[in-house]
Amino acid sequence: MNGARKLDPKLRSEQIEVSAQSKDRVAPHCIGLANGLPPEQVLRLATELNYTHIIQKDGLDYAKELATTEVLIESPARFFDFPVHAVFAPTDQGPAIDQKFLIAKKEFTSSVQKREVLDLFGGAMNQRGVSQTLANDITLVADEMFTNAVFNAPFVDKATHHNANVSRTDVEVNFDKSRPGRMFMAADDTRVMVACEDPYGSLNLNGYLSKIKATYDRGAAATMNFGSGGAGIGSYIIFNTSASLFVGVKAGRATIIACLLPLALSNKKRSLLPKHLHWIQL
Amino acid sequence: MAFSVGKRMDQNTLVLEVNGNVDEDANFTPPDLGSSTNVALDLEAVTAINSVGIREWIKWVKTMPSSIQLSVRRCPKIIVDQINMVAGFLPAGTTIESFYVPYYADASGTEKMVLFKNGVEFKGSELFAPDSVKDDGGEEMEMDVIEAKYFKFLKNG
Repeated sequence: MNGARKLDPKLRSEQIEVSAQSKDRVAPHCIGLANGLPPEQVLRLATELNYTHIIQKDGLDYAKELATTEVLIESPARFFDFPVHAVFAPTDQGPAIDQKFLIAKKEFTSSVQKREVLDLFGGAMNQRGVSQTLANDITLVADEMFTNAVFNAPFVDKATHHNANVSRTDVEVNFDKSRPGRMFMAADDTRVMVACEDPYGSLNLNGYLSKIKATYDRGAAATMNFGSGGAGIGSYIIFNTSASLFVGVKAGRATIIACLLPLALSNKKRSLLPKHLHWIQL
Repeated sequence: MAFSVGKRMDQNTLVLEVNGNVDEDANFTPPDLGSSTNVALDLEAVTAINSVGIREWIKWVKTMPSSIQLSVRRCPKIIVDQINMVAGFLPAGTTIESFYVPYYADASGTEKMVLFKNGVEFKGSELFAPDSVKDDGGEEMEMDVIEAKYFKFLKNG
């Protein structure tokens, strides 16, 4: 995967049919179009062949996902400025669009706020009549995102990218109050977004996606960290639970992780959806 | 909900009732099992489990002496998902007494959790699912899992 790079503004996206047999590395403006590709192959395309956007024709709301992808290739900064807008109404104009879809948001500066955030999201889900199993999944991904933002992001060494693996169990972590993280939930008729933004921009994108792939390849038990710090499978849980994952890093400034889950679908149909994946490095 | 472990006797089985969120705030002190040789973990009241909780859970169940006959009962879907996802979530030889299976009605969009009991709805890895499950409005509901994935843990037991 490349580091930060500038896209030629004159370039438009190029759509390439991809499969488990795809072997060629591509430029950042290329969209991989797949059909029924399993998650580990989606991750292979991202980590080994440099596809920044992989979307699946039989995945969740393919047409909407493609529209978002086209916009993000042309203007990747939009994901950081208006993530809800970029995903839910990519071709609409106006900053108020974010508010139209937003159903809960919370800034946080401390690890002790996790319960507050999850309770807020739980209340929002109850109001929308979300099924218990979907609510459990939303809570799970929100929990993992919050924990990553609070316990990982502030402690990654900028030079070495080494994660200090701060203990989750006996440390209270507090951010600089002037640079809060934020979590938000948004939804349209068919999708719910759970997202987390931290103000550090320290996520190693290649490492993040490679770690998820390693868990698919070797299993959760084999990749779990039984020492201090995180368990090492939270990002896998987020991707495994989601129908679409967006990961954006503006180095030193912000990391946003956003996932989409389908509304009004049975668990079975949700589990059968092949996944979309997007990563943006600025 | 805050994590806690309650204890009660069910005939000659010590039942540990696990309640609340299994996460980094859960206090996983090894339980006092006394002289019990049969221990059942009642998991119905587990409300959530995250990745750190999975890890701490695995470390906790490993403290159970190997002489204990361990079983789990009333496992919610969030626990079944972890049993299937993480090898070693339950120690080898753990008996599955019962677990919940989600059912869904397309027409109403409602879901219901049905308890599958060992010797009734399943025996070993063989399933004897109910002939009919209906929602509150009388609509027929379907088992809402991919069977090969959800019941995989029964084959591994």
